[in-house]
Formats: sequence, C-alpha cells, structure tokens
Amino acid sequence: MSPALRLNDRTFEREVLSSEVPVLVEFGASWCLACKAMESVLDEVAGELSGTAKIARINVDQNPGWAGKFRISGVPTLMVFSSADIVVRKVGAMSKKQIRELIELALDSG
Amino acid sequence: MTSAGQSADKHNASCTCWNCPAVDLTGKVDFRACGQTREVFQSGEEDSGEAYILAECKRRPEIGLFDPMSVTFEDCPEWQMGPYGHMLKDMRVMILGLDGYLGWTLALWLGRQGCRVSGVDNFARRDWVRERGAHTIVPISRMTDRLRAARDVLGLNIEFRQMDILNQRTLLREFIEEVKPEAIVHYAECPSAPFSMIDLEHATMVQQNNVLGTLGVLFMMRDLVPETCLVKLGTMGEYGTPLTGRPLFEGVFPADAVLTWGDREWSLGGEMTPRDPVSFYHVSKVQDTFNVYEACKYWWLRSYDVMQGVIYGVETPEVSAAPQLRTRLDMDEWFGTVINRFVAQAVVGFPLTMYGSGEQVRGFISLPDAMQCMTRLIMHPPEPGQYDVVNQMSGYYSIRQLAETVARISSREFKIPVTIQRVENPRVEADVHPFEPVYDKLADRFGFESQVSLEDTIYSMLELLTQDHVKARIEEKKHLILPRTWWSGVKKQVETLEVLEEIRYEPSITA
Repeated sequence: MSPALRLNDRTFEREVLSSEVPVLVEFGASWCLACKAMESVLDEVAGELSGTAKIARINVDQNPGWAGKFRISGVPTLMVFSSADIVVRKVGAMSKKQIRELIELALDSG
Repeated sequence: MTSAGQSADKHNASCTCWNCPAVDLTGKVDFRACGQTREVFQSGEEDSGEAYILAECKRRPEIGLFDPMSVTFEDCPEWQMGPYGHMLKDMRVMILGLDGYLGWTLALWLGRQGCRVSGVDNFARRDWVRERGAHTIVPISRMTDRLRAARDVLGLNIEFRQMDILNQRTLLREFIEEVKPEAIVHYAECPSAPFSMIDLEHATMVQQNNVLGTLGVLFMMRDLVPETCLVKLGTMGEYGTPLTGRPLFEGVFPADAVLTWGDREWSLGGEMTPRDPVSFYHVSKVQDTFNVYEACKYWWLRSYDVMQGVIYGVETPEVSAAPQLRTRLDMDEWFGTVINRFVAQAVVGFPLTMYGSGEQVRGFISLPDAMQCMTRLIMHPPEPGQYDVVNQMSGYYSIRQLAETVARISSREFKIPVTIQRVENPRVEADVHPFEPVYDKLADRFGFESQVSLEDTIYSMLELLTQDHVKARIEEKKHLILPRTWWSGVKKQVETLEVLEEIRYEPSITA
C-alpha cells in the first residue's frame, strides 16, 4: 500500500498543480491532534485510490509558502485540486468516508 | 515518520532533526495555539527564505543552520543503532522520582543502554509507606549505597540530587539548567488510589503533589528545555471502565470514530477521549493529562503521556545484579499492585483476596516490558508541539484469572497450597463491565515487543519472594494486606470483611 505523499514547498507545484489526476491535500501540523488522527486514514485512502487520485499531506510550519498563499488559518484544512483548480476546501477532522466523498467530487466532475 | 509493520529496530530510523532534542529550532518559529490565524500571509513574507524554520545542532554547532527535515536519525552520526532502534549517543535523561519502584529500575536500565542518567527524589515514597506502618518486602538500600553499587557493579555514574519538585522549584530549575536533559521522565507522583482516599489530608496531599508538581515542571521546561520530550506517567485508570463498552482508545479518538446525531455525522478524530477516573488519585492524573496537553498546545512542548497498565514484577537484569541494586516491592493495600500483592500473599499462605466479584478487568504490563516501552519512547521523540498518548500494557486479565494463575503456579511449581477468597469491595467501581482497550501504538510505531510472559514473571517473583529474608518481611506486615480504606468513607474493621467464597488449590501429585 502506498501511503499519502508528503509534500513540501518545493514539490507542491509539481505534485499538485501539475498533476494529471485529482489531488486531495491535507494542510496539517505536528501539534495538531486531528491531523495526527487522520494520518492512517489518509494512507488507507491513498492506497485505495492509487492511480486514480493522489492523497497528500503538507506540514504548514515546515512549509509556510503554499500555506500562506492559500491563506490556511486553521488545521487540518483539506483541499481537493483538479487541473490546478480548487474543487473543494474544508476545515476539520474527517473520517475515511468523508475524505472519500471529498475526493470523489473531483473524480465525478472530471 | 514510521508506520505499522516496520521492524522493531527501525521504528525511528526516518525521524529527522524535527524530532531531535539536540536541535534548536530557529528562524520562523511561530509559537501559536492550534487554529489561530497564521501570521505568515499577513506579513507578506511567504516567499522569503526567512519564513522557514531552521535547525541548529547543539552537538555539532559547526554545521550551521540547515533544514530540520534534511537529516534522518539513520543518517545522523549522533544517533547510533542499538537494541531499541537508533539511540542518541550519551543521551542525557533526567528521571524525576528516581528512588521509586520504576524510577530506580529505569535509571539502571537506561544507564546500561548508554544514557547519562540524572535524577531527583525527595524519598516521599519511603515516607508514605512508613507512615502506613508498611515496608517494601524486598529490602532496598539507602540512596548513597544504591549509587555506590551502581558505580561498582554496573559502572554507572548516576547524577542524583535530593529535592522536592513541588516545594523546591528553584533547586529543580537550577538542576535542569545545569544538566540540560534531552528527555525528562516524570515518575515523581504519588501512585496510590487508596492512599488518596484515606481522608481529606491525604487526598489534598496527593492532588497537590501530583498536579502542582507537574505544573511546575511544565513551566520550567517551557523556559529551559522546550525541545526536550516529557515522558509523563499516567495510568489506564484515567479512562475508567465506561459502561458503553466503547474502545479505550489511546488518549484521542481516531479519525474513523464518528459521532452520529440525527442524520448528520462528525469525525471525532483528534479529540481527547472522555476520562472517568476512579479515585482522587486518578483525578490528579487526569488533571495532569490536561495540563500537559495544554502546555504542548501553548508552548510547543513535546510529550508522551503514558497510560500504563497495572505494573507487576521485580526483576530486570540490572536490579537483580546485586542486593544493593534491588528496587522496592510493596504488598500493602495502599502501594501493593494486585499481582505483586497476590504473589506475596501466596508465599505466606495468606488467602488471595479479590475485591467484589473478581470479574474486574484491567490492563497489565511487567516491569521489564515497561522499561522497554519507556526506552523506545525516549528514543523516538515527538515532534514540536506534539502531545501523544500511548496505552502501555501488554495484555488484560480479570482479577480472578490473575488469582487463579498465581495459585496455579504457586501450588504446582512451588508446592504452596493457595486459597482464593472474595471479600467486600471497598472501592466504588463496576464489578462487571465491558473492557476493550486499544494498545497498538507502542508495537506499531515504536517497535515494542513483549519479552516476558505473565506466567514466567510470576514464577520469577515466587523464586525471590520465597527466600527466607523476603518471606520474613512479608510475614511481618501481612496484617496490612486486607483493605481498610473505604471509598465511601465508612470506618470498618478489617475483621468484619465477609468471606464470600473459597477456591482451594492443592499441590498436584505430579508437581
């Protein structure tokens, strides 16, 4: 099973904005209990959707560039990108089912 | 970051300087509480290199500033492979409560692993046990003799200072400043539920000692060693035994725990799970949990809150190496944990006394397994601001199962006939209850593997406790085994406790 991608400010553009498949990005932090709680479900969804969508995480403290550009002011913030467009943006913990529903918005529209 | 399935010695290989206590974080370190608006986009400096957090290695300052994510423990020459994963060379570990059952054992254990161990104690545990008229059934030495034996027998130089962390904060502050510990293990609490239920004076003492002592440590860590991990001892008893039967998660709900209300649902991921403490002592531990959690949130401190199961056992390679190195073992109603107490009772022919039905189920862990867990946690430090909880236990049993196991091994292997009794339960607790603990994290993320079985540990305890000098000490204090501290506050003589049932084991013919 391939776990969720770990992004940084240098890889964000290539992995997310230039991606050929939809990408769900979780903006999180080391001190965020909800982000830690979601790690395993993000990894699971990444494995299940391998090839059709990407699941990724980025730590906002280590990578303030893109977090700043998207004006992330609370974590976890989940954003789904498709062809560099933002399909949906939500703040707060999510279950596996809810994460799948978010990414499926992009898969359905694509 | 590690994940399930990694081999036991690789659990921390991919941790980076982000986790390392020997690294100062500098540059754009933005201390703030979770959820507050980020400063970075307001100041418009998101594209500037100054916006990034940088690392400075305290052990190798000549390297200069670098990206904390760029060096892993596996790559760093300061972290060398050991039996419990990569281990920080000569890591400075300070143990608060170094003289206790766990503190002394861990000091020797970590010393043998190559750590530079320091610690403090005010000898309160010795005083509390003495106050009740009890004593440790395995004799222990004075601290000066302990330290000398550690040096002579094991070659360890333990830096010890006598002090009270609550009432002598200036001394502790100075000691932390001097040692600059890279991990702090906090065992300096009163660990007894019945002791806290004796009367107002004892309840007050336990809560002040535990809660305010810990609060002081947190402020000192903020000021002096914010990169250092606090490994704080909690207890599985913080959760209680909720009658909903929901799993006892490791401190926080996983993302897939969902609250459904009406036609809507919410992930509970990351929320602290409810606590249901079962004594004023357990309340102090719950209060600690929230104080530590808050300190991590406000100041980016890092902590593992260890929900330890009921501890048992008396042997590790280090404490067994010489009589002066022994750790204490209590069997009285206030400080004796159940398996330790049952073994002592069996040795002197005192009936094994289960409170109430004996169907209460608890999580347990042996002394050496607990030491292994603590070592693994210390060597796999949390990330900045990370508060995490582990349920530190290796199995769960009903009190009846434990009594029967002790009785079976005593009678068959040691030819000691053992009686089991049920007596009135002086505590306010559910006698029969669901119990579904989750205790995967230590194994999955930290590589913990239990090394000793319950049966083998009981056997080795019986070997020690049946020695004449220990047996005599049990005989001397066996009048302090039966409980007399009632949660209700009622004053009842020990003699009035009702014997409800007896199960008698005889030595088997083939034994």
